[in-house]
Amino acid sequence: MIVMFFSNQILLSKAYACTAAPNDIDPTSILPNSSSSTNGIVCPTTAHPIATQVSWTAPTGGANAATSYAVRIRDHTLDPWTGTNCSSSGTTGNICTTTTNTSYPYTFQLNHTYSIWLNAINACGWSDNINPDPAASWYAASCIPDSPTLSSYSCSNTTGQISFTTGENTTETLVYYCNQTTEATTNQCETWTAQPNGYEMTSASPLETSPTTITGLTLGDTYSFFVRACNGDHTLSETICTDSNTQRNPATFNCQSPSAICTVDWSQFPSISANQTYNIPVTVTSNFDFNNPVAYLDTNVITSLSNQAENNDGTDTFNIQLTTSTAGSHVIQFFLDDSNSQGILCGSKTFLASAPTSAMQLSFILGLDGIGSTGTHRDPIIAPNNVLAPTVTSFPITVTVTNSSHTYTEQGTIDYINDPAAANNTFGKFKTTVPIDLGSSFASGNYNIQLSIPRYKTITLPDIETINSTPILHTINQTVNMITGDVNDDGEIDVADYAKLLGCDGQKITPITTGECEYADIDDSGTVDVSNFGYDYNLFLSEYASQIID
Amino acid sequence: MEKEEIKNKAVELKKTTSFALKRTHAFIIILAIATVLLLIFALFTNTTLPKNSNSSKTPTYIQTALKLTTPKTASSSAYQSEIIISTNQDKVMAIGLRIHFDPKVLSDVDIKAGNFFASPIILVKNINKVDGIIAYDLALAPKQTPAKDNGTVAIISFSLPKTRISTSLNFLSTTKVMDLRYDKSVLKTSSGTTFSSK
Repeated sequence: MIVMFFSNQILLSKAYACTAAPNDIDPTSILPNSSSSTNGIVCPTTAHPIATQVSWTAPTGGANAATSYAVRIRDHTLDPWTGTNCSSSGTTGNICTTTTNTSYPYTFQLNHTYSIWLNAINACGWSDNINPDPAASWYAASCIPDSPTLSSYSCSNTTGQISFTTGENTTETLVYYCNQTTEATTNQCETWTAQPNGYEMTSASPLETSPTTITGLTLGDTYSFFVRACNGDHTLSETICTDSNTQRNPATFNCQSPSAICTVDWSQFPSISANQTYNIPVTVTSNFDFNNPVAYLDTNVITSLSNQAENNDGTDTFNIQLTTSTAGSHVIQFFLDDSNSQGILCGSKTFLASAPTSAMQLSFILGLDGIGSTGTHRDPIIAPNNVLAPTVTSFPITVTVTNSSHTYTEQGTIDYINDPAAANNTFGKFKTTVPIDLGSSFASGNYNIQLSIPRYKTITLPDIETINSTPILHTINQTVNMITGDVNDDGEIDVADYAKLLGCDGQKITPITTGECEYADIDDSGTVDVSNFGYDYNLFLSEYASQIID
Repeated sequence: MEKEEIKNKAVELKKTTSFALKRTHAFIIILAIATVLLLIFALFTNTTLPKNSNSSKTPTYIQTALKLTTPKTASSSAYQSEIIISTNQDKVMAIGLRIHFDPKVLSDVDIKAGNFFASPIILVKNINKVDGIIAYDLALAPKQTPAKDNGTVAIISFSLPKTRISTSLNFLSTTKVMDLRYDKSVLKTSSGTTFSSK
């Protein structure tokens, strides 16, 4: 007891050595501090983490130095504060305690508002209350940015533009977009918050300002997008972002073609004369890059169309091959298409084809037995409408037009009509794509017309044709099927053809084959099949019997 | 001196004669070789049959003859005339008959196959009673053995008026006889028949 008494006396005598209360704590030494950039809790980052203690510098004082400190921390989220509903220990909540140290461990909570009071204490008394921020709200740290708001978006072909507004605590904005068309099967565009940097999204830029332009979109594809507002130091991993709440269900816009524009430069379009073939270059300029020209009207005029230069810059050069058998006005409408199949009218051209230099052309349609839509077929289901598509689609033809005073013999070709929708059920027949030109010396009159095609019996049309030199094009409307089986190509079908057919049995024929057995492949199957009553043989017999012996 | 000169000349003559003899022998040998070569060439070309020959001479492979026999009475007004073939070395696979008759004289004209072809295929049978033309094509089927030698190709039947009148049956030039070995007809000769009703 005596020892304890003296010990207390020594301490008291030491405390009593002071003459006054300690000096006030320097408020600028208190951390965290609203004016400090080093230990603040406003928008904490890895480099600047949220504070985990309150610290201060001991005031100077000599004999009046502080021997302890009163620490009071008020968490305003726990209001009301009564001054007594505080704990003497702990690292969160309201604290009322003393310490002999110059710091007190305390975990500040994000988005809480705090007030701090510190007093220095010695045996002579307490210093004044020191509050580092009299406003008592300097610790409020609402670091979550306000949601951005999409104000408008637009699409001009392959370029999109997004306008948005941002709110408080936004230091950067990220814009994402996703191709709904290409990602539609897995709906991956919906998962972007789970994978903010996922492959299905592309950030146009780490830091975007409104309006943001997105280039390189695919014409016709549908895009969704959203904006993220962030508050940080521009390092993505340290950025706190929030989604655009109002746009959480992705807004979409459609970049399809209605606003696409293309124009055609027709400046190299020449004067057109009927029955002439022209190759005409046209330059097409568009505000998007296209791949294929796909449609054009008046297909009787245009015979082919090809892309001569794919420039990948919205300007392409195409070649139109054009021919018309009819003098007069024609219209070409030039369409382009992208892969989504919606045609774009780029331009129209109306031109006047002058009369051809020659005076007379013949046009007609024939059926060629054994191939196409006439005669019998080995396999009638081989093509639609019971049409056996031929391997050879163009045949030379000799046309002899005669009467008592004139004979005109001209060469030409007839071509396969490979169009199930061809007028007058002519699918599978053959026609003179380029009319037979009888020449400018042709005299009007009544004529017999003889037609000769290799492999077919030469025929004379049953009816006499009255052919006048005007109009220019005379179309023969007589329906004629030519009989096949002229294996030796002498214009007749007789026992000489029979013998030759038997001699060609088993021969392989290709479309380019020329030689002894070229015309023995009557059904155009690629092989001369005679043995065991093969199809060529049977077809030959039926054709043979059907002919009229002259 | 003279003797020496004569002797030299004799030696020289002997040398010259010897050289000439050797040259003659060589020439004879060359001629013999050339003769043999020409003979081989000639034999070779003789064994090759002309094909599609445009020569004005009848090719040797064309050896077939057709003949219409004098019609025989089948009934009071019906007659039959046979078409006889003689192929010689030809092997016939198909025959195309084109026969002209006077449609004003002959009636009930018909034609049927004879026995020259066993089981022939009738390719076409057309009797034009306006122009008086019989078109009758018959052939053997593929893989059948071609026919040769003599035989009756077809038999023409017809009626004649009861009044006595002379008429004829004649082959047209478009009649063909085909041997598979050749592209052209092997028909060499054809002879019709002129006759009159009783």
